[in-house]
Amino acid sequence: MNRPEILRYLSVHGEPDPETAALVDDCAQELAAAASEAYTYSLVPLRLDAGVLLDGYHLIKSHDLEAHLAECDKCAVFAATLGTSAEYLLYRYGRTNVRRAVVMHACATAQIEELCDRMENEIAEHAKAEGLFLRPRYSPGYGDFSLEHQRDIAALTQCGSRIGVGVTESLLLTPSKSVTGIIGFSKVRVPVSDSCVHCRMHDTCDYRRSGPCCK
Amino acid sequence: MLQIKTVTDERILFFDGAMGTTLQSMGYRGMRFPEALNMTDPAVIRGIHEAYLRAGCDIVKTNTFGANRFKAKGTAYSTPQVTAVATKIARSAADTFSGSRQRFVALDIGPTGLLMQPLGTLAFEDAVSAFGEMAKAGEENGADLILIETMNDTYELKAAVLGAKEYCSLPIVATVTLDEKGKLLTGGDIGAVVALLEGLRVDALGLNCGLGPSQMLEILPDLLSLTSVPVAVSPNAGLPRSVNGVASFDVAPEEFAVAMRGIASMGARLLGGCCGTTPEHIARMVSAAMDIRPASIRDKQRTVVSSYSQAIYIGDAPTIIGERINPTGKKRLKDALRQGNYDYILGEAVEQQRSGAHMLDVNAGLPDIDEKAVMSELVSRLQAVVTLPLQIDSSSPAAIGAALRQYNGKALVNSVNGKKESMEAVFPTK
Repeated sequence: MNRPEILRYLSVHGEPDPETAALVDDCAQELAAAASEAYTYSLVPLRLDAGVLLDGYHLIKSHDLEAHLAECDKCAVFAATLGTSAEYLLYRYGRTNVRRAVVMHACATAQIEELCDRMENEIAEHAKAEGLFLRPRYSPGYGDFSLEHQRDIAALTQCGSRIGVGVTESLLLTPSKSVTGIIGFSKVRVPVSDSCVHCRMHDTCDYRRSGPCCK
Repeated sequence: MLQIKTVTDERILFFDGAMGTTLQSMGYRGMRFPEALNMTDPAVIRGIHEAYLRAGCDIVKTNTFGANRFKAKGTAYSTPQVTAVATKIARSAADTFSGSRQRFVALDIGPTGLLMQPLGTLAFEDAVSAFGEMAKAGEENGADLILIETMNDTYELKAAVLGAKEYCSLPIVATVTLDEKGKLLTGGDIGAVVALLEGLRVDALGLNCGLGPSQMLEILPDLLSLTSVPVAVSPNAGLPRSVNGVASFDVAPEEFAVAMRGIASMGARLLGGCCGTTPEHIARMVSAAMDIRPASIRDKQRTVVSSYSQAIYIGDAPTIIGERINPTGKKRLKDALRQGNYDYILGEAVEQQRSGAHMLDVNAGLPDIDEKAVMSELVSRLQAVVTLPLQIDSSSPAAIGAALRQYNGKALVNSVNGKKESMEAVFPTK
């Protein structure tokens, strides 16, 4: 459990009071026990040519994604989820205990990120075997990477039948605590900047104002 | 008509192997609607059926896994159209191979890819009719049975079985996908799946996809210990590894065959292959397991009710039924029912679950409300917030019927008395 991350999602600055800390721990444990974590990914070739062409079939028109994947000729396309069981828990508390529901949502967001981290470690092994390095995860909805491409990712990963992640007509993922995205394989290690200077939220960040940063 | 129980009393029935991953390995990649190939490349689909029939399978699955109306939307084809053509292709291939041994066609139905209400967007009755139109087109075009597979949510599973039952008269095999802990993605366990499917009177039930044969072998004893109908098992060829866009699987044909022989010896009566299996896997499996005489099936004689999440077996120890959702003598609950204040009632339900109830009674019997409508609303809301099975408590057959239809599990019915007319109205006719 990543308590600092959960507290950040809850906008709790500094040390939480004992009651909040206990509530967070309790919710995180209940969610972890109930969730049906699952992920799946496909390693596919990509070509950057007037967009990002994945696996020779799926063309993604996105300048931001193209820039993010510069010099990559391969990537992992992934989907990860906490499962319908987590959705039940969020629904239950949304109807019967709103305070707990708010904390549970924060826990779920932190947990799906942790799951993606574990998946990324596994993907990194594939990259390492080929002497390649990973770019950070990039998901539909970031920059100009349109949500419409959720459908391409679903087709590429078969996430519907493999792990039960679907795309609604309005292009949202179900269950709601699911993530899809792309991780580029790169010949060069691009250092991930810890500096806030390059962050898009630099001017408006609540954390930079009140604390050192979000990390 | 194919009698699955009778046939499998004598011998194992073999399904074919994978369609989707076979198409991918042939270069059909990146397709949002692979069922369109029935229309555009029928010879390719027929070729795959023939390869599996040549490998010795008894049953071929139509290329209709994702042919439902939600996935067909936006394509050039309608669900009934695609389903009809796909079934004719499989029928024609199966008939070519039917000699001394009859070959069968299973109309293949997979999940919609949508999450059911209230968690998601798909309404229960919409799901029933979507699955039903597939089953109808399958029967009209020569299918011998309906195979509902890869289900990971009991509610969608129930909608699929009801759709098949109401729109056609073919036998039904229903299989679910479990994770390594033996759970559905909803968190539901094997007991909940078996209770639901046996309650709906499917002809066979079991597992497919998600796991390889050795992992299914570990879950199988649990499944067999609960089930009183033939069991079907169709594993993947191990776990998927996707390399350069092509899914590859790590269990080779011979290893698959050995594991499937073990699965048949343990008591499964229908064997097949899911993702990653090839005609070679199926050929080896058939020759490894065809001489096994299916184990007899013992009726488990259990009284069982279930929710989406779990089954409760009545009779082993006292079963505690929470009776707080029954308006008799409870003014606040009466007011809540009259005013549609469901939050109050959900709170009562959660409190009873927390206090240790095994099941919850649900009664909406007030003279001045529409009991059928309120009961339906109550059941649909309650079943999404508690994990306990529900007991439908009403003297109105219409209210009981509406509640049972949309209940996500197998409910207990309360308040049927011994009068002949009461029993005739409420009990199943067969």
